[in-house]
Amino acid sequence: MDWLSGHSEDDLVRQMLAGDEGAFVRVYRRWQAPIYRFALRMSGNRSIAEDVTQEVFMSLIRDGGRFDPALGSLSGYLFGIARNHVRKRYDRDRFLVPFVENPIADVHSNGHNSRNGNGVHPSIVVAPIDLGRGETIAMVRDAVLSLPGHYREVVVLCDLQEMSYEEAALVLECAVGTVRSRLHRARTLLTEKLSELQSPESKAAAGGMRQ
Amino acid sequence: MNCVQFQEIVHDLARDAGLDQPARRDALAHADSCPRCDELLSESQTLTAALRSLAAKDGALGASERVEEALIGAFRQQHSAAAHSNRPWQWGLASVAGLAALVLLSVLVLRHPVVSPPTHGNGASATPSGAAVAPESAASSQQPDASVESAANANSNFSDADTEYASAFVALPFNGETAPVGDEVVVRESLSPAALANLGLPVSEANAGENVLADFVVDEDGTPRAVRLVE
Repeated sequence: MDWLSGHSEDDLVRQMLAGDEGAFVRVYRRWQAPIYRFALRMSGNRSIAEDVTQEVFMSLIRDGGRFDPALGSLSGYLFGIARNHVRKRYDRDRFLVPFVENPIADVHSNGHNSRNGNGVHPSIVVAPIDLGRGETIAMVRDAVLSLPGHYREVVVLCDLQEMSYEEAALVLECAVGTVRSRLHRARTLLTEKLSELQSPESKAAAGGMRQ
Repeated sequence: MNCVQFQEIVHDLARDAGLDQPARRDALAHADSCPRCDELLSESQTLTAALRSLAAKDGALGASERVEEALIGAFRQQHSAAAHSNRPWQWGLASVAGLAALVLLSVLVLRHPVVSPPTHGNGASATPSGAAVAPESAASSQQPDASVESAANANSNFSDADTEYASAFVALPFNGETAPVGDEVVVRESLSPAALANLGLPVSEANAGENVLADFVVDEDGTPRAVRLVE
């Protein structure tokens, strides 16, 4: 917690609300990247991720007084705001394009969704993040994006953001047991999906190796 | 541990989270003895590794500097607006102070009534209040605390023929201060044009050849404080 430089999160937020720009910049620089990545992994769109990040910190500037350290950490508070903004984007876009109830069922064996070609909500365009590191990472990213929202968010929070069940439960405003069961189901779906996404060649290779 | 129990905790086992040591030990022992559950564990561990790779690959991503600049601008604007919104109390305080000053001034005026100037003869004296002067006849009958109304009634006794016109009192600049320092009187004098000029008062062609009546506010130590011309 060296970013706090001996202050508590509460102190830092209080300084920020009193007009200390340095305190605001410290909070922003500590949490903007995790918030951005959360929004990016939830939406698959860099522009939406930037908008959500901006909205989260605008909310902190305007209504930071609502943060109560007794109710949870600052990160939980910020992720909670981010989650609400991501959901708002979905609700808004849903009026334009029907929401995919079971995107996994629409995925073809080549790893692409019949609706927009990448297994993602049709209103979202996946940003061309560098795929040079390997096909597997790209497949995992697409698989995560194709999960239903309430499963996707637990995977993003617990597996990609490495939050504990308790922290995720605070962000999602649900019981720890709910987080655990959703994550279990989400990972089962992901495993099935990644198995489907495996190319016929690799499946054959895997079969040959077993023989 | 049976297969159903194992499948409930297989992802916790693969993520190495949420399981205590005895439960973990039992689960691994079951996987060793059950090929199907061992395969499930292997798949879940592969998924965990893939997700961690994704997290590591995207680990350097963040919002652009444009977002930070926009937010800092918004922060400054917010607190600038907040500073402005804090000012009304200062204006309120100034208003209250102004009102108090007005009340104080009113009380002072009521204690030393302001009366219009008709007076008779030279050398008339009255109790003045600042730049105002009471008429001679009224001055002799009014107490210092008499009201404006009573002074006005006194003035109503004058006929039109008795009406005088006077300029406003002008502070005499060489006396330093114009505020009254004690009881003052108004003394009427007839001044020559040269005396007028010495006092810094204008001398026109109309009054160049004759004396002019003037009222002086004179302090109790004899210092003239202000002067006005009377016709």
